[in-house]
Amino acid sequence: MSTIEDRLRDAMAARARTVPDDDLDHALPAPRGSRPRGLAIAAAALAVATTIVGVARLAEPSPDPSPDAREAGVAAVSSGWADVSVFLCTDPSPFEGCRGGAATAWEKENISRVLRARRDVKTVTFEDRRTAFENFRRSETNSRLLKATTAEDMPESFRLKLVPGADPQAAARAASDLPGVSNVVDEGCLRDNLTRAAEVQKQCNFPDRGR
Amino acid sequence: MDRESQWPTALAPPGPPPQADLAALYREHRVGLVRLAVLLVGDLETAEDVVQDVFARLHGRRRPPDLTLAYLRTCVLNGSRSVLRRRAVMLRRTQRVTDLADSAETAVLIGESRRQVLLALARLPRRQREALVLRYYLDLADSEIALVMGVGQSTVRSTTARALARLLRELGEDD
Repeated sequence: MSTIEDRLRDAMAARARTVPDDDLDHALPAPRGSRPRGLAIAAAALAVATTIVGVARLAEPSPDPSPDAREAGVAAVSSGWADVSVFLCTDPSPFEGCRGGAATAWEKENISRVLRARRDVKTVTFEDRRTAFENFRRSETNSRLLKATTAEDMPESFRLKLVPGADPQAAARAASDLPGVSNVVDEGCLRDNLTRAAEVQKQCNFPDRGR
Repeated sequence: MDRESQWPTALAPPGPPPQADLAALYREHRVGLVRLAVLLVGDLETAEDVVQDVFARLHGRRRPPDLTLAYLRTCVLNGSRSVLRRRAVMLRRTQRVTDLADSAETAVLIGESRRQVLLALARLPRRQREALVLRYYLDLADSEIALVMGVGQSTVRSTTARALARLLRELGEDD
């Protein structure tokens, strides 16, 4: 046995030993090409925010709504009529401001109270996970996303209807400062962005700035 | 020797193995594959990325019907090659030698004499380095190395011999 072979064995074994044994039970990596779960959930939340509005607007102008449209209208009452959607922190959450975990009961209470106290807010409706999930299921067409999502992944939210003439951006910005809020979406702005060129699209999404 | 016959395909199950098998393989071999990769690419973070990437690519239909450790090692070898190729393009004008000891901490842990060996190993041409890692780190037989590297056994033997001779020239005076 030559020394160079021994030195090689020894050096490589020593280098390999510097890689520690697993102390965590690593999960199998997700299939290539799919987004990280957190992002998918954020996308799901955004999809809910946008598509439900679409449903509501379709349902609105019909003077004698068919049963289907009426059903869609019910969903719209809970979320689609919103001018501003205030999403609450989930655990885990992809948003920076949610590092402390899901929104607590106190935080929800506080958000509700502050929003209701605003003069530019006409109504505040709470949307729970189940409703959010049902809306999402009804509107989402991406079957992979649908399969990967459960009610637990959906964020709770407060849906705000503003008084006529109010500035939704101001309300959205103010709501995004509250603890327990993950992000706030100006729904009208999002809707308008769909028809705007990329260069003139406005910021419609206001992530929370931390607890 | 016919390398095709080493991958038993005739008796393989029709579809890819269930997800549970992949997860079990991952649990069982992750660390070992990271250690293999660290000897090929030089730093732990890249090595972990290479292995993550291998498993991320193995979902769904891209998987061969018989998923063996040899196949996983081939994937790690290929992944490491891609990384080194990208890195070479990036560093071509700035820095030629990659260091197999990625941090000061690692250098202290393994000692100066071993570090010299690893440095010399890192300077070898890619195939020579791979052959030595598979032979002297994983203790694979010529036939297994041939399978993992995708070359013939005689190539393995000649590559290993050339690599050892070169290392001996570079490190000889230390013996």
